[in-house]
Amino acid sequence: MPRIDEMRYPHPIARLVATGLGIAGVLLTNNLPLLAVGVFFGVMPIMLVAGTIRPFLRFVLAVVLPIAIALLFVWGWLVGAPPGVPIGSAPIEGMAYAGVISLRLILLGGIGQLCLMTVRPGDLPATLRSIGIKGDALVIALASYALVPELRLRMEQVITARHARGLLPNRNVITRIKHFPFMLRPLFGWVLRSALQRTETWRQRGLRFDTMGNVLHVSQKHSAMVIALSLLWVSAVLFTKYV
Amino acid sequence: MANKTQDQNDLTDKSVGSKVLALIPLGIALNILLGTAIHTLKMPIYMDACGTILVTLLAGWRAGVVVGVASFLLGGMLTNPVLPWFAGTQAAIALYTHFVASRGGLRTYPRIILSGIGLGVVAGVASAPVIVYLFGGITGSGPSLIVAFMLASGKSILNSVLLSGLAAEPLDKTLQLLLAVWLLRGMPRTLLQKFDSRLLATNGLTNAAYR
Repeated sequence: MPRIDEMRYPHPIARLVATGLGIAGVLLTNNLPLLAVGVFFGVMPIMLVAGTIRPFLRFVLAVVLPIAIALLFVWGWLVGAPPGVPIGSAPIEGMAYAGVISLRLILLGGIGQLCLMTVRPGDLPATLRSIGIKGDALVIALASYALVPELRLRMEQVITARHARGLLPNRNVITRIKHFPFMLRPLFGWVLRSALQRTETWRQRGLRFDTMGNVLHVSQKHSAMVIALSLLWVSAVLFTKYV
Repeated sequence: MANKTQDQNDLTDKSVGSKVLALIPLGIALNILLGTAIHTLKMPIYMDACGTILVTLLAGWRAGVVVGVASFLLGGMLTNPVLPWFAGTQAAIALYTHFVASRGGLRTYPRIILSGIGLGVVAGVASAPVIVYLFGGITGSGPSLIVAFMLASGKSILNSVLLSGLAAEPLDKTLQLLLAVWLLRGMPRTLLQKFDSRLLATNGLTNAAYR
């Protein structure tokens, strides 16, 4: 297994095209076995190779599984039929409909994760530039990526400060809910001041994004492979739909 | 300077405005953070459009749309991969907020509540097609119970999702609008005046007489 800094990835354009084709395929098909093949023989093996299987499984277990259980309950038992069919007339088809929706969600989430989470942080500026995100849009994208952890840290600081002053008796969930609006004010005040400070800094120093991160760890082989896989997926979808 | 690059030129006041440019990423981060915090606390509201509303009020609808759409795209990367499909709802929220704020819809609390109900209707209608097609009507949140009840009573999936959205969204969106205005009213007037927002002025949020 190569080290992370030695790994090479598909070109951003190939990544974008493959993602678009993958999503189009998922939205076009209602075929339950094909969607299952897409999950177990498409997305999951690629996730394993790319090293992003853990966030994917977390997404499946935390987000999709509760929805899947609710869908099975509603369409398989409560309604007992898929949409457009008289209530209680086709429980098996209702369950199949729930399965299609769940697998579609897993595939859409998985494809999104493969597209976004496999970009190395160091390659992010060059990746965004090469798909046409430049100037203001690039500043916004990179700053947003960096500011989420900073704001999270700031929120923890607000909680700690209120706790230290005796304004928060403890840190449990109920206390946090009760004090939530009061924690927001200092956070929002910081947001406004920080925006003004950043503006001033940018004006004084100027920002150069034109030379930033021009090195991309891409390989033609990987680019060709993801395009081929996505074309294979769309072909399978069209074949099962129309032939 | 003639040999400035395009990237440098875009950072000057003539394109987006550097204050707005600095505010947008913070609005995005605020949206993601509040949405995640509320989701983690298992509160029966979403609170994921507060940053969108605040930035719209401070910097107009274009900045609000950018914050809403980008926060859901980034949220898809950091928290929940199905969030990007609701980016259109965020754009609708920014547009509606600009519309009501430009007509003084946030000037008094009764007006805010009316505007919040309207915002809930807009958000419910905008997100209904995604919930129907992508989620089969069930998103696993509180309103899904209403959808299940309506489906069992023989209503179509689109009507069920629309009606449940119209029942649940106005409360959430009214709370978000109230929170946004409450936050803005708690900020120093001099700080808000630096953003030179017409919407804040229209709603008396930078004017001491209304505070």
